[in-house]
Amino acid sequence: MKMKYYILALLLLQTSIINSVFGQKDTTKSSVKVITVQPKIMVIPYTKEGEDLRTVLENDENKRIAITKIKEAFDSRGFTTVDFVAKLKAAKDNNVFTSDNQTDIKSQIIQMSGADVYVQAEVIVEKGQSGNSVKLILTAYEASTGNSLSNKVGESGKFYTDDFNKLASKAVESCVEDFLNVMQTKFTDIVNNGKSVIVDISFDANSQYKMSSEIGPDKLPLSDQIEMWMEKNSFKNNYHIQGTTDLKMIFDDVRIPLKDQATGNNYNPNKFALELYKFFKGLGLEPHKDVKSSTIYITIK
Amino acid sequence: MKTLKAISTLVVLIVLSVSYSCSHKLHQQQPYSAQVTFLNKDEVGTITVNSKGFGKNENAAIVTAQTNAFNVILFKGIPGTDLNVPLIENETDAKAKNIEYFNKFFDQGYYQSFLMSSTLSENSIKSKDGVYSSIDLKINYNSLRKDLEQNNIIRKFGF
Repeated sequence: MKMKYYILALLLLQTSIINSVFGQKDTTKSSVKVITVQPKIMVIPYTKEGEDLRTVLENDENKRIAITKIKEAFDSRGFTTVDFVAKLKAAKDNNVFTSDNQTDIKSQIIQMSGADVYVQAEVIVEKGQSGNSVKLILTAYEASTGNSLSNKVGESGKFYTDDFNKLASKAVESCVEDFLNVMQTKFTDIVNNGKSVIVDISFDANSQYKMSSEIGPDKLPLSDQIEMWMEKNSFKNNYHIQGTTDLKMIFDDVRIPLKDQATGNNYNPNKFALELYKFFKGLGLEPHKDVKSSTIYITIK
Repeated sequence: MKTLKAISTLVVLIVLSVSYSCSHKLHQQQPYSAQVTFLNKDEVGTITVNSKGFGKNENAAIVTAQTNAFNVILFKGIPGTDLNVPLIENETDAKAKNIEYFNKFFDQGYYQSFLMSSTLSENSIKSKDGVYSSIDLKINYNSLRKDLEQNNIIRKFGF
């Protein structure tokens, strides 16, 4: 009898020890950790109409200081940015620029850099009798979708000084921390709710099909079948249709997860495009896919 | 007699086991005050704030003021400053998933590792219920953020 009570007491003690050990969150999983692919971020100077992106930094040290201070803020967060000057040099060395049109040059630099996010810095110098100041307009956006990630205006404050370099530095310091914090909340939204991609579906000139064509085993219109597929395959059923015509269907915002939900591996627009490609093949169609950054182009033959 | 002794032992063991399990719950369940105001920003990565606290004595009031300041910086943010967005987005989630860390942080005084200075801004006010103190705190939030990242409380910048 005595023995029974002692055994029971031991069991109780054991249970509480087990509770305390396994009740805590297991933060030390032994499985191999997948490293999440990080976005490529490039800090670029703002250019006005007629200003050459290739030479704008050479001519303005305030812009150079502002860009360097912004990059320093990313560095202090342990994040490596893509260097604009280095990419510019590489573009020149590889004769990337095919025209002198300033809009084209900017697009070409943006395209060849492979950056996912752009941080544009506009430096405004103000001189006045009550003092000089520098204002900074900082904007960050996703290159492929145009989604805004963060926007801040920084001010140095007015001082009786001609040291505009110092004022530019102060203007950056006044807003860059909050700027990065807001960017991080947008990144958190992407981690939780998926990354935006654009899906553009159209037909080859010689194609016999249209969006109203009834195909597949269910004989439903193609546009409806595409939407049903998107409903199931977009992350958390999150997608937006920009518009549908008989010849084209554009989803201007489809969310895809950062990680494959089944395997936990990194997921990207290429993989999503492949799933879409397989879907069209399954309907008996001949699709062609092209992926540029976060935009997926499907052309049905 | 023997049966009574055995039952008493059992009861004591049950009480011990329940209290041991419960000891891992977060102690700081009381709501904290938002009486934290921005004073100035000196070096990059630091912030000086004024915080108020109430306690049984001056020391307790100072500790309350200090933990209030950290609660606000971690979970609420201070408008118009570099910490407009709080360091931790979801307070309930973070506290539930990281009980040990926050117990260590608040109850065991780990927050003091990020406190560069703490000075009484005015004389403490004594009342029959306790003491009310106002203190100026200089906090190294850069270092605090890095510590949160290293302990997986928050993500590093990026995805």
